[in-house]
Amino acid sequence: MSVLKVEHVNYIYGAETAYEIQALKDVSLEIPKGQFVGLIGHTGSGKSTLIQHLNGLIRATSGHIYFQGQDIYGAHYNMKELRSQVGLVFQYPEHQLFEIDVLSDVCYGPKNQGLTREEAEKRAREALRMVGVSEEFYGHSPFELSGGQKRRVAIAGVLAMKPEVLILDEPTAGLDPKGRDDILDQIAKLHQESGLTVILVSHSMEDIAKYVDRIIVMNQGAVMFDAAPKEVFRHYKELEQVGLAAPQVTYIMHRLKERGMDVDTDATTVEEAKEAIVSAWKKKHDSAGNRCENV
Amino acid sequence: MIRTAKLVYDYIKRDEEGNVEEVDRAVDHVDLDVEKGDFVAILGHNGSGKSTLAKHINAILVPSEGTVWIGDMDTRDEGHLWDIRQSAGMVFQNPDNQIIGTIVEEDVGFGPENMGVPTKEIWERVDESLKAVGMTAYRHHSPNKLSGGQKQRVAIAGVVAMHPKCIILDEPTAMLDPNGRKEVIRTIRALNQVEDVTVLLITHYMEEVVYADKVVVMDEGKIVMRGTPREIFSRVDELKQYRLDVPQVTLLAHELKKEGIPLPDGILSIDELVNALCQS
Repeated sequence: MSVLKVEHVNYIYGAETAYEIQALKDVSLEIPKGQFVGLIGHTGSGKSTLIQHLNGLIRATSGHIYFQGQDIYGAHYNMKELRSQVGLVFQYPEHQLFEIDVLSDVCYGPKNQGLTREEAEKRAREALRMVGVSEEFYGHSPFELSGGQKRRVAIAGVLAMKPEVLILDEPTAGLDPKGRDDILDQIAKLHQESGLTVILVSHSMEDIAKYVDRIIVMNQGAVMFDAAPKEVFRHYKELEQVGLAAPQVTYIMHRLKERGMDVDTDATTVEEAKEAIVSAWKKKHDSAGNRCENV
Repeated sequence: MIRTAKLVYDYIKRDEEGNVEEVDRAVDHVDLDVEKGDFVAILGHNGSGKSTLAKHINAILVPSEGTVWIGDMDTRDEGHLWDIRQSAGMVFQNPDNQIIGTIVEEDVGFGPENMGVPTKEIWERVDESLKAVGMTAYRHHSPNKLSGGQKQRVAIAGVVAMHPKCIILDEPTAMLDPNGRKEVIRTIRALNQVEDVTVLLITHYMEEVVYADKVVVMDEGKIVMRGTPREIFSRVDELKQYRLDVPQVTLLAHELKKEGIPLPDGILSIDELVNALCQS
């Protein structure tokens, strides 16, 4: 059974006013448990509106959303419960840190769920371990940490509520390359080890290609593509038309192919590209020295 | 144009009585020399001192030790403060924090108006600045209806309208989608090449650095690498030590070389890699 199911959802901002904007148009999708999903789209494409529907922060104008088979718009549905089950990490989540020390900040969510101080702390410690914040920082003020550390603490705050689904809205914006890789590696590990369902919103096609099983592309409030990364990036020209792009590697592979090199254009990561080029190069050099055509 | 000599900056934390509790050295003896018309990129991990350095160039911060000159003005000389701020304009990460006007052209005119530029000239400057960033068509729009990339270009136009000799951009693309990033980088390059504005670009996106004349890498407040993009990106392993990276195409070339494919060092563009592979 899918953990989340979105059925014909429409959402209109400012309905029946002069500023009426349809932010979501007939969106339907199903997310199975344990999937790592990438959500991409240019600014204003409806990504953020969509993810806010998934934990009930925004109510659809029409359509249905099911979490673990239950209609979240049902009469006696527990919205509060949904919000801890579908954990949403906003952009720049470190702006929402507020407690006196790191441990108390992470405890805030579970305490709000009604857990005792003891249980909440246990959860908090576990969550901080999961995101790789070491114990020496627990007593520090969250404001004294580096950008990458703050962001981990903020993510831990959501993880401490033990969500079924973790949604991250551009978790690496503003981080240095190492910080970017560290956070995404940690999330990938979490996903693998605990089977957590993850939805990653990102503007970095390279990161998306590296980590996710499936990409959902949003454009003008509707789902434009929904498939495996290889398949989606085959449409790189259409992606460009809607303000997106493919990873640099995809462009390299297509250019090599155009120039007559027999490579697999489906490679989307550096690792895959390396293998494809090495094997094509060896093939070329084993057979007679035929050069690429000059186009 | 911009020169720093043994620049040191300490963030000093004091307790309630004003005694020094902790000294955090953010910039540590930096010597930097930027010539007129240069496009210099500054790389470094979070907390390496890039932004602190940048804030010295328009005298938001003044040195704890050492000196910063903008042209022949010492930034410590308060009498030059307004001249320095006009010589060196800054653009920050979040476009929403930098836009104040309710209409694009008013926003762009705000800087020159504040400087006491005569009205007729303000409008001339607004025209040319909007043209320089390719936003003339949006001059009567409300800034909050624009995309991130467009907002950032309006913010850049606002700085350009003050006729600075130099623009410092602190991660101007961090919050933008791929298209917005492209627009902003294209705009910055055009300002540098066509208008001959000196550019200092701080970024975490390695692909954006490829277009710079010079690259400076910072770590723990010090400059640890300097060179052209090609020189810097040839040193993949060293960059990784500093928590940085190289563009994907450079990384791929580096990996292919390790596999025994003969390729030159420091490949920066898709064209270069494709050509090199087809000739090898």
